[in-house]
Formats: sequence, structure tokens, C-alpha cells
Amino acid sequence: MYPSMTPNFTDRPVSGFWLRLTRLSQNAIVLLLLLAITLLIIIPFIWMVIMSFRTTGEILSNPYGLPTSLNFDNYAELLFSPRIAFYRYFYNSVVVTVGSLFLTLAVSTLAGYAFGRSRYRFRFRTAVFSSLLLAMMLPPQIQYLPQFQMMTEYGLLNTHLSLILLYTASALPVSTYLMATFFAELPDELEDAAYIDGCGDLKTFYRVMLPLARPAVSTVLLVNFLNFWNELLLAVTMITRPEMRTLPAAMMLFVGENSSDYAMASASLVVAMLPVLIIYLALSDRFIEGLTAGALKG
Amino acid sequence: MSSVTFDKVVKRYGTNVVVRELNLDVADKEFLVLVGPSGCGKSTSLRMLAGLEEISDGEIRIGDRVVNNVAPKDRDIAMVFQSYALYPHMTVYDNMAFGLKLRKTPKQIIDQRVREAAKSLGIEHLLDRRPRQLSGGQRQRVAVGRAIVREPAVFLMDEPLSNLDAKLRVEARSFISKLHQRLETTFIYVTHDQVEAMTMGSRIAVLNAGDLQQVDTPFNLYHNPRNKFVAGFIGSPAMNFMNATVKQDNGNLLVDTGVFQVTIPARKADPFRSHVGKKVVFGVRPEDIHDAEFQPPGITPSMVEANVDVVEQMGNEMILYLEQGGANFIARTDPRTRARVGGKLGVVMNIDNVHLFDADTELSLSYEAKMKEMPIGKSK
Repeated sequence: MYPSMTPNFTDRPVSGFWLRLTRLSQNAIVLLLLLAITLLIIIPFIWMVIMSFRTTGEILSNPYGLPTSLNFDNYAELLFSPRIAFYRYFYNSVVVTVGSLFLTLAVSTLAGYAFGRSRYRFRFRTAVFSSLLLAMMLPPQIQYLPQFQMMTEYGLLNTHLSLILLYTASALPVSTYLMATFFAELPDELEDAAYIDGCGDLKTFYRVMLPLARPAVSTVLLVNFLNFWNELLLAVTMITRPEMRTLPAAMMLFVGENSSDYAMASASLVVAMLPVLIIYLALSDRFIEGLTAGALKG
Repeated sequence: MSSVTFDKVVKRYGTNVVVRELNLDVADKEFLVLVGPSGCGKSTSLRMLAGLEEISDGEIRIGDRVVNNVAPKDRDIAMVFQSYALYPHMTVYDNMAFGLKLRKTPKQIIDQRVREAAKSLGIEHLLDRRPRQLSGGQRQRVAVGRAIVREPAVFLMDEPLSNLDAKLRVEARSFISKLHQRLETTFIYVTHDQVEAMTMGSRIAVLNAGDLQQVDTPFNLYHNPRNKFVAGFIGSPAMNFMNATVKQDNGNLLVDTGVFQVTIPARKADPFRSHVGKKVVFGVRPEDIHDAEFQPPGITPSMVEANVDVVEQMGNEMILYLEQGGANFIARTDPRTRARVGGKLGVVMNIDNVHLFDADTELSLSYEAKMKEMPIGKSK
């Protein structure tokens, strides 16, 4: 309930009209604030979508103008022109992102289970887990040089695998930590019941405990999907051959030092954004569940 | 169907001993209740039997097989947990079928067993629901159902009624007793509630602080407790205890509590003679203290006058909190008793049923002698 903002010094009840007015104005202020923040975030997106339907010439002469007609030429050229070969980059991004996600999930769920469940005690458990937390605090930039050297050494430069390995490594500390804290909250008796019902360790994990960890899995999926899909620095460092580039690296080419194809850049950004939008809409409820898990222990 | 044997079983966590040399034989088809206050090692013992805790020392056998190093899934047991531990992501049907599926039981047999069990438990209409859509009582039945369909050699139950409200608990008690009669399987049941233990167990094992105190039938435990702990733990309201000394007076034995003296009848006195002049603990159950006005026939009375502190009228009986000379004791008297708070009341104790315990060892002085008279069962 909202506390009344009208000071009430007498024992007489505050009239219903003033009470309602106060509450209404409080709600209005909150709503206006939220609306302002939403606009601030969403306007660049809208602008980007508008630009994707205009030509670069139009954009340069009048950056904030509306499209004169609904013009899908940009998209047609982007998606089908062999000169741009957008599908090639899109494919690269999908391979790298899906590969990294798969590896991240496989390792972080299992590791998180071992760290989270008190049943599994092993030497240096706390030390290893703490080192994970430490790894989260290292800035990624200082790792690029050694990572580049490692990839050169293994002959993995210009391969999908290089990015898959590096993305997975960068995602594992946070993901494992998330999974571990979630698994730690699941009741021990479920594990006991599974053992008695006939599961071994692995079956207990993937038939009973993992399905219950869906909110955490969704969170790990979503956060890492965004990171992997949008990652640029490693992508341009490890991949130099044009046909191996991922989307973010490829899209850089539209905006050059001497000339920039803003229309094409906008269209490609819209297309690149679509998977993010779809996955977020599909997983957002679970995502919020995963983030708030443990806040209220049921 | 199988017997269960605990042979000098020890459980240690580091240097902390939780179960100390537990020796216990559970016969085939028996309903054994492990009872004791929290932390007495009853749940740990059950979990060791289930294979959920390692055994520090000793041996556990199911039938003739030593199961110390057998995985829980291979012990042929089923367990009902306090929280029921139903799998939240599965329907009731899948919860019950899960164990059978893991054992690669043919689909038709799974279906038949699950539906049969559900029918016998009255949960047929719930098979498609998820655990969170069920009430506490329904969840409890599903948890039992999950255990039944496995047709295990031994049923383990770890405080399965603790999460139910009082009314459901009474229903569930008789439901589980009937289940035991119908299935004719060995049941081992853990509870801290002595009422559950008394009403359901064919035998009860009382544990305290990791030590087995006594194993016997409910009747024998109640009427012939081996020590002061069992005497105080079994029965509600609990037995009254007072420090006392045994005295000799003209060939009669007297027990002097400092507040009042009672004379032990000659035919009951033999076990107590060794303790003349020694400190003992005098114990009398509340129902052996009567209002003098409604003294039942055939008892050996000893009159005491007491102050009435609290009166609880239960309808069928009256619980009186009495005080005399600094000693407090509780009496269960006839409901017609005219006791007023703050007033005085003459009560009689039935000396036939008093218990004396050694003040140091806390062992009952008359245990051995009474054991010979016990009508049924025999102690170990």
C-alpha cells in the first residue's frame, strides 16, 4: 500500500478524494519516469529501423527524416548479394555462438553441480571455486595477447574453434558461479529420493536436478548468447580472413574511414538484432526467475 | 520382504560420534519405529540403512546381504521423506513411475502398478497433476505411492507425518498402519513423536544421544521402561520424577522424597532392597495419581495433599499441575474432580505402579523383575 502523503494530524479520516488524488499523482510520476527511461533506450532502435528503409544518400542529406517509401532494397541486397555475402557472416556467427553456448552449458552445469552440492567434497574445492571468482575480476583486455599467442601456437587462428574456445573460457566463471549458487539451493532430499529411486550421480544430475535448474540454465543461455553474438574484439583479433568473420566484425566494414554505407549498416544491424529479440522474448520470464532465485527462499 | 540387522554400527562425523555401536534386529514384516529427541541419531541410522550416509564402523545387513558398500539403488529399499521430496517437474504419474522406468520395467507393468497403487491410495484423479498443485495430505500419499510401486523389500519412512496438520496426521497414522498390514513388508519408521511410535510400531527402539536405550513392544516400553530416559520420553504428559531415598522401617520399605513418604508393598519391595539408604529417582505416571474422592478400586493408595497450580479440563479427563513442598507434579484425574486453582486437593498415588531409578545410572531397579511378569513380548 502507498503511504498517504497528506499529513494527518487529526483523528478525522482523510477525505477519499484527496487520498485518491495523492495516489493517482504518485502513480503518474512513476509512470512518467519509466516512460522517459524507456524512450531513451528505444529511440536509437527506432531510428536504426527507419534508416534501414532509406538510402545512404537520403540519410546523409537529412539524417532524421522519415523514409519516402517503404523500401526493402537494402534488405534484399544485404541478404542475397554475393558481393556482401551477409549469409556467410551470419552462418559464422551462428556456428561460433551455438558452439560456445553448447560448450559453456555442458561445462558450467556440471561444474556448478559439483561446486554447489555439498555431497561433493574434494580437495581444494573452495580454493578452485574462489579462483573462479577471482577470474571474474580480471579485465578481458589483458588476456588478449596471451590468448592470441596460444591460438597461434595451436594453429587455431582463423578458425571457428578459436572463438568457441575463447568465448567459452570467458563465460565459464560467471556461468559456473550462477549454476553453483542455484544448485546449492535445491533441497537435499530430492537428490536422496533420486538415489533411492535408482539414479546414479549422472542420472540424478540430468533427470532430476538439471530440469529443476531451468531458470539458471536460461539465464546462462541468455546472458552468454548476447555476449557471444555481439562480441567484436576477440572476433577481429583471432579472425583475419574475411570469409571467416562473424557478424559484428563484418558489419564494421560498412562504416569506413572514407565512406560509410549507413543504410546497409542499419539494415544489417536490424537483421543481426532479430535473433536476440526472439531469444530474449522466449526466455525473459525464466531469465528473471534465474536472477531472483535465492532472493526469496521458498 | 527381508529382515534388517544393525551390527555394531557406528557413525562418526570427524570426532563427533552420532551413532554409537547400534545393535538392532528387525524381523521380516515387522513395523519397527525408531524414536528419540532430535539429534539422537535416528535419522542418521535410517539414512545409513538407505545408503545415503556412509557407515563409519560395523555392518548393516538386509536379509543375509551385507549392504555397507551397496549403492542405494541396489539395496531394494524405498523411502518416504519428511518433505516428501516429490520431483516438482514431473506429474504424479511420472513421480511414481520414475523408479520403475529407471529399472527398465516394461511399460504395461509400470502402468498397471502405478494405477493400482494410485487406486489403493485414493489418488487416481491426481495422476496428471504436478506436486505443487496438491495439498499436503495428497503429496504425502503420492510419496507413499512412489515407494509402494517399487515393491521393495524394506520400507523406510523418515518422519513422513511431520508436515501434516494434527487432524490429517491421525488419519495418516492409521492409513500407514493399514498399509503395513496389507503389504506385509518390513517397515522402519523414524519419528520424534512418541504418540506415533506407540500407535504404529509393533516394536519401538528408543534412541538418545546416539545410544540405543531400549527396544520393545509399546506395552512393555510404557509399563517397564529400562531407564529414566525411556520412562520420561514415552507417555504424555510425561512421568513425574522426584529425587528420593529408600529407607527401611520395621521391615517395610519407605521411599522418602522429602515432601512425602510412600510405603512400598512387600510383594513389590524385593528389587529395591539393595538400594536402602541410597539416593534414587522416584517416578510416577500422571494417570497413577488420582483425586482421593474418585479413587479407583484395587490400587495400593498413598495419600498426598497438594496445591493446585493449573487445571486443564479435557472433558474425558482432567490434567492437574500440582505442587507440594517445592516439588511439581502432574496428575490425570477424573473429569469430575473439584479442583480449583490456588486451592488444595487430596490425591492418592497408586504405589503398585511407581518406578524407582538408580540416581547415578538412571537404570530402573525393577526392570529385570518386571520383565518376567510382562504378559507379551520379550526384550532384548
